[in-house]
Amino acid sequence: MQGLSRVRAVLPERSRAVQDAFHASLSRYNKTAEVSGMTDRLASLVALRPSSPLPIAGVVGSLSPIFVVANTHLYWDRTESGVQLSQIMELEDALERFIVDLSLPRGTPLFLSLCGDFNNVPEVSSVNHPILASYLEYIQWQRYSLRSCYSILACAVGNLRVYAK
Amino acid sequence: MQHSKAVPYILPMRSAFVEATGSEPAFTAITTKKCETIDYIWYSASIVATNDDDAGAAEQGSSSGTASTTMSTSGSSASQRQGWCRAIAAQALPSREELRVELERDSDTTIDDPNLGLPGGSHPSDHLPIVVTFEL
Repeated sequence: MQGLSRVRAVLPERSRAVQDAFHASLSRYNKTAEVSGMTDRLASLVALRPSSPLPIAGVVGSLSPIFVVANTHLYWDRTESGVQLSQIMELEDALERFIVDLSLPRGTPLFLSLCGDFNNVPEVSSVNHPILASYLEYIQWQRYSLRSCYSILACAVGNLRVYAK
Repeated sequence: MQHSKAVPYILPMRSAFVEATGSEPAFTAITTKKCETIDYIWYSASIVATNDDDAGAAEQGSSSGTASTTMSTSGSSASQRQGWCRAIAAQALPSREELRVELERDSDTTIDDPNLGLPGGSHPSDHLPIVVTFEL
């Protein structure tokens, strides 16, 4: 749940109502393990390696690429921002551990795909929930060259930095 | 957390469907209650780097005054760090009208638009699979 600290870090800058809304949603996530759908979501993570060498054109001296694919299904209610953010940040942490454990040598081309049902729609204007909006704002502030900023979920993972142990 | 050697440095993800077709699908899930785009394929293609590479990139970014370069490029390796893979095509998704025709043929009844929804016909889910072809 490391990722949650990053969300909490921006909350003090938000209004009390925004903070309350987020913590209320987060509380529902933590306390409702028995509620079907809210906490029983899964993600599958796979790492694929070509069976024969596959040099990448234009990458001098490249090693064979590694393809990491993650698939998930977030909670359906997009107004439950604490729940959805918690889920994507847990996935972000899991992805980081997963990739670090691969111990990839420097220079390895790494393809990472995150796909699935995010239960969020593409239009920025539809992100009218204060927590989602503030998180989106936070991400954009951090990485304002994001091309796909409309998905808070992909943005969260897009900021992933992974280091070897 | 100790960072002795960096492994990958992952770029911001792009929507593969947008890259291949210019926009997200009109819808990826359709029931009689909702019709919306909620399924995505995000991806990045990077090169595993080290902490040293990372520091160099950050330095270059600050000197050029653009934060974006801190995450994407590092000097001569810039062209190697991104774009070694791209989404070039996406499998076409049926339109509402195409779905309606299929479902009417399948059920041998007329379907009013508000009653148009999946699963049905050749679609076992209320979501449509999205399929993108990548080129290395």
